[in-house]
Amino acid sequence: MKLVKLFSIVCASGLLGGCVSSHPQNAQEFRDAVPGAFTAAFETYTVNRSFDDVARTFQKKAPECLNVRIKTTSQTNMSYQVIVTKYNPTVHVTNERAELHVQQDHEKGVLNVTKKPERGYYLMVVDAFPAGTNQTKIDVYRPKIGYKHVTQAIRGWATGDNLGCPDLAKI
Amino acid sequence: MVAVAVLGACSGIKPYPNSYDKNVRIITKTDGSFLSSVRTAVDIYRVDNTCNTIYQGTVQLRGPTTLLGLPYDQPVYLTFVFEGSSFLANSQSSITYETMFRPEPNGYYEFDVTYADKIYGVQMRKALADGDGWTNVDSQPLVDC
Repeated sequence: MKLVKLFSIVCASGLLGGCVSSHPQNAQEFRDAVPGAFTAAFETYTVNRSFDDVARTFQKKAPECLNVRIKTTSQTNMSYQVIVTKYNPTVHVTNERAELHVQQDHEKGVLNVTKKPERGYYLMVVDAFPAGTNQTKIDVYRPKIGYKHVTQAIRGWATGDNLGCPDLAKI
Repeated sequence: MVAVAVLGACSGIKPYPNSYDKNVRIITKTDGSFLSSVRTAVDIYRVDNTCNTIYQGTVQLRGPTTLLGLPYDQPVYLTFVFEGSSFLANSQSSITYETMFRPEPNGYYEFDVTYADKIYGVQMRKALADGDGWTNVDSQPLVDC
C-alpha cells in the first residue's frame, strides 16, 4: 500500500508520461495529456440517468466527499514521514457538459518537481454529457494506478446506485 | 469535511450519556476480515448559538443497530468516524463524515452507516408523520449554522 501511495504521489506530482518538465495546468491540458501518458488512462461508459440528475449529484457529492485534507504519518525504525494532502474538487455545469475536476495539493512532505497549478495537480477529470433521454455519457481521465475506489465512487454518483464517499485515507 | 489519518489510539474520548428519548436508530454495515477491519463511532457535539461545537461524547457503533437519543429541536453536530486497521500493513487510518442535524419534535430517524470496498456513507432519513414510509434527510455542513 505504501508503495502504491508513493508511486501515485510521484505520478500526480508531475511525472505524467515519464520524465516531464511540466504538468497540466488546467483540466483541458490534463485531458490532452492523458492519451500519451504512461501513468494515466481514459475510460468511458454510459449511465441510464438523466444528465440533469447526474450533474446535480456531482454538485452535491463532490464537495461533500472530496473536499478533504488527509494527514498520513508513517514510521519505521529507520524513518519518520508526515504527508499532508488536500483534495480540491471543482464542478462546472453547462447545458452541454458537467465537469468534475479533482486536484491534489501536497501541503507537506512532498517535493513538487514541476509548477503546481492553483489548487493542486490534476488527479482526475470526469466529464458528463447528455446522451439521449435519461442517458448520460461519462468520460473519465484518471490515474492508472491506485484511486480505483475514487473512480468507483464517482461511477456510483453517476448511476445513482451508491452515493458513498471514497476513503481518501486509503490511497 | 476534514479527515485525519492517524497511527495510534485517540485520547479525550468520553461515552455519550445517551439519556434522551431514543429518536435515532443507527444501522451499521461495514466490511472487514481477520486481516483488516473497520470500526465506526459517532462523536456528538452540541452547537451553541454562535455555531461553536461543544463535545458531548462518543457512541461506539459496535452492533448492527444502535439506538441514540438526541435532544429535540436543538442543533447537534455529528462526526461519524470510520477507523480502519490492516494487520499485514501494520497501519491505521481514519476518515470522518460530518453533518449538522436538528431532530424535529417527536421525529424519528434512521441512519444507514456503511463502509465497503473503501467507500463510506451515511444516509439519513426521517419517518413520515403517518408512519407510512420515510423521507431522506440531506447532510448539512457546519457553515450552514
